[in-house]
Amino acid sequence: MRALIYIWMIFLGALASIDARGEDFAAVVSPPRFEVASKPGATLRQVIEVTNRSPTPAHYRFHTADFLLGPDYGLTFHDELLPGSCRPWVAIERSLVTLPPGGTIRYRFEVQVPADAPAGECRFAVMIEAAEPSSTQAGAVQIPIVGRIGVIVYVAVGDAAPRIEIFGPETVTHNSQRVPAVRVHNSGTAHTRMSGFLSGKDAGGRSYDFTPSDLPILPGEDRSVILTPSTPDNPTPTLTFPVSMKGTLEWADQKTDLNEIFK
Amino acid sequence: MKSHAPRALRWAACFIAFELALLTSRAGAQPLPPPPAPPAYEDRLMGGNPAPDISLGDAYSYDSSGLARAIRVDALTSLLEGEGANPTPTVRENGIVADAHWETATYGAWSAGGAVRIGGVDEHYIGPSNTNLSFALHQRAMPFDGGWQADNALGDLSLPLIGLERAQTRFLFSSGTMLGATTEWRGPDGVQLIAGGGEPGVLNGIKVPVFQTLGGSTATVGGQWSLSPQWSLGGEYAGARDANLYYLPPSSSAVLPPEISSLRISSNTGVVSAAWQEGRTHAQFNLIDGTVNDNGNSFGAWADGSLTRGAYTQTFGAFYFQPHLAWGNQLIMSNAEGAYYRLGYQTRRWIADFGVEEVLPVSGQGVHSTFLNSDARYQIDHDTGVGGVANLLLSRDGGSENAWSLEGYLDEAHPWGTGRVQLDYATATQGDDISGSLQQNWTTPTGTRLATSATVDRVHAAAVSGLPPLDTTVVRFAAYGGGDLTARLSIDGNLQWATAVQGRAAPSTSADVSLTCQLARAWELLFTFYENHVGSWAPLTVTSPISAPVPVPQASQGQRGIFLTLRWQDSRGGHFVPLGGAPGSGSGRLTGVIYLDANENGRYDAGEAGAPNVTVILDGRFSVRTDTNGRFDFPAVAAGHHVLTVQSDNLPLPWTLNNQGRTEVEVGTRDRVDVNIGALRLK
Repeated sequence: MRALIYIWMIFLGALASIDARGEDFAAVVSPPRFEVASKPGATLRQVIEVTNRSPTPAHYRFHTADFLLGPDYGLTFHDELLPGSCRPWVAIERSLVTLPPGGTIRYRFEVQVPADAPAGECRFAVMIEAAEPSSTQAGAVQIPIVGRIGVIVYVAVGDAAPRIEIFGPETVTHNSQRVPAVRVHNSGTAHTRMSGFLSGKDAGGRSYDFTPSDLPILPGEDRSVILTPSTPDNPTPTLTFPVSMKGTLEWADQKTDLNEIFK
Repeated sequence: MKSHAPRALRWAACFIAFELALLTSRAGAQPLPPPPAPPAYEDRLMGGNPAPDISLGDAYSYDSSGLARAIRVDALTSLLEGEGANPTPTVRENGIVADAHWETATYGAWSAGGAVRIGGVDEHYIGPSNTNLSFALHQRAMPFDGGWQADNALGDLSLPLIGLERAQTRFLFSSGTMLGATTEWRGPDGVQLIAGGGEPGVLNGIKVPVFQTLGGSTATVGGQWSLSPQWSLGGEYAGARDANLYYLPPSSSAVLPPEISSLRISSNTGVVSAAWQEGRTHAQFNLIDGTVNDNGNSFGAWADGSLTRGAYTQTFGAFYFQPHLAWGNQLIMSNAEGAYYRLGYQTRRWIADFGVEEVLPVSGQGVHSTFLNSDARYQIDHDTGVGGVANLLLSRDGGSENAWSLEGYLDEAHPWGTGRVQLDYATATQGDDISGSLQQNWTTPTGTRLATSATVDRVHAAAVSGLPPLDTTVVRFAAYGGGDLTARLSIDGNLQWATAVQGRAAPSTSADVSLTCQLARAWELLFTFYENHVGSWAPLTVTSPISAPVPVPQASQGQRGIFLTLRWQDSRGGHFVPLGGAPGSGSGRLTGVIYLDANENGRYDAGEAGAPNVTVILDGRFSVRTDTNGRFDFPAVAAGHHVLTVQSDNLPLPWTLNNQGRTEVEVGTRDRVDVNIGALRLK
């Protein structure tokens, strides 16, 4: 009977310690993503800095994951290997890390690119998760939650490069507003992001600056690159179409002139 | 019994068989379940030695109980040595610097700090009163009823300023340090009241700041309030009695006239300000009037405005200051009148700014100058930007102090980092200077940093006034970098080297290295070494609207310093937020008892029982349960109006509460409110 009481006390103690350790997930991670290059046969080593900003010691679990970008740029992470995954090239430092309050670790990982790897892009995520779930109260129900941060890694291998084709103007609805956009296709072997300086006028004669969306365009993808209008006085103006626009669109080390009317 | 057991087993077997059959039939009727998820990938681990897990073996756990509190104690030792033909005196300094912060639930946040010099030889810093310590005690944001908050302080402090004077955009009030006390009260409608006074002094020391009083006294009193959402009005008085205008080390008496080095002043000055703001348009008008010693009354007035429309921002103002104006024991802008105007333009691609300022002396004696300044930067594409700066100073007192400068640069981002190519030219009556430099911030692994620069500087100027000018070409290299060597050891360093490749200029080298080592959870060791040999020309830059630059050859001299700090620091607790309030808002305590009102007189009488284990809810959000005597306690409730309700489910039958025992209470700051809620019998 005494043994049963001891076992029960140990069980209660274990429950209490899990609860205390899962209280907060407040990690600051730097950098938020890697866009690096390597060569076949080379080993690329990088460091992620993780700082525990919670007032209690934090236990983190590190692992890699494949990711997919949805049509709305929503990220889904996959623990299992997706077809074509390069995660077998990746090695991480350790899977479990404990940090005291305010503590920082320089967490290392490496990518060993095989000597026969073709030109292309290796993409994966380094996931940093609370090792134990915390819980939140929803009415009378305690819901376990696990905080996690994914650091996206793009490794351009060899001569991997984006190749962007632009298919003219269109308009899309974004945040309940109709905005101009350009349809692009990346037929290259590496992702890219659009940038540039564009200005124009809407049907009301008002002048705007337009900023291209800088979300990634992966190889083989078709994307609408939203051109977000702004003025010095109003960061979210409502446009009256048609909108005329000119300027330059840039990506990687290339650029093209744009002079279009968005109807 | 024996016959029962096999029967039970048979029943059990039948039941299991029935369940299996049911499951099988269901499986046959339903589509097959989805295939099991592919097994999660097992990551490969790196070989070699992983970075140390800084918490392994460390049984540290943060004590989050109680209110936030922190303490830091530094034990320091420093050595500064001069080198060269005429070296500065050697200074050694040992001491302890400590500061602590703690929050209270109802008296705001407190901090105390102090330093004491406990050893070493101090030959350089000797003042009228030679003390070896400094201290200050601050209490901030103590809440009071009616939305008032107070800050109070005691020790080595700065004279306080009202908000309108702190927010000056063009002319700053320098509030000197003193040994004294200050108080500041903030209330509704933007009301602010300040007062303070004490004996003026200065903080001295290398790493251990000690306070040395200078004699005399200084005081201030002021207030401001918001007349409307747009208008604020305020005024402040500052005075000094027989206070030292300057603090001068004894060695300086050799180079300054005795009447200046021994100058003591008495001053009375008042300032009145009115500010108006609506959206992105702001204007402030100020009048100042005062006396310094026996110089009679002096008057000043100035106005500043700013206007932002679209991509353009205009700032402008005009000023007039008669001679001999002071604020306490500090001299402020005097004997000058003029005006200024600036126009800024900013878009995603352009940042441009142009300004013109005219300054002339009120007394007719002094600098009369016009200063024009413009700078612009244009982003050519995502990676490339160009820019330039032009400055022109025109002096009207004989035309001997005209000067101008030009700067142009190209910024380029590339895979190795961000680089800049820059060319500068500056010319003044006494010489000119042209330089070209390459600067690079290198892309480095996370947690490390490296920046380098290389400069060629050609100076044409006279080393000594009256002698013919010389041409000198100086080459400079500099690097700054640092990073974490291990999880507990980090390093930062700065190196500079310059030498004359043509003409006459002494070589210049300097280096400083800092190491920070985390010895244990609360212990840190900081070590800094620097060595500096100055010998080359200081580059010409035209930046002041008042005076033209003068090429100054640096005397060949050097200094070496070593600083060692052993630090212990600890923090505990969490930030205080009263129930139903914001952090720092006033709070009180709300207690009471849920009792069974046996005689139904509405009072908690002796002999009446409390209702245990009943839930009491504050403002419908925060709940506590009563103890065995029916008592409940909310230790920290935001000051103001609150509503208590009671869940009567746990009341013993036949007791109940009307309207859930709803009781409205008013809690004052640092107040304790006792509420008794009686339950009645069901009838």
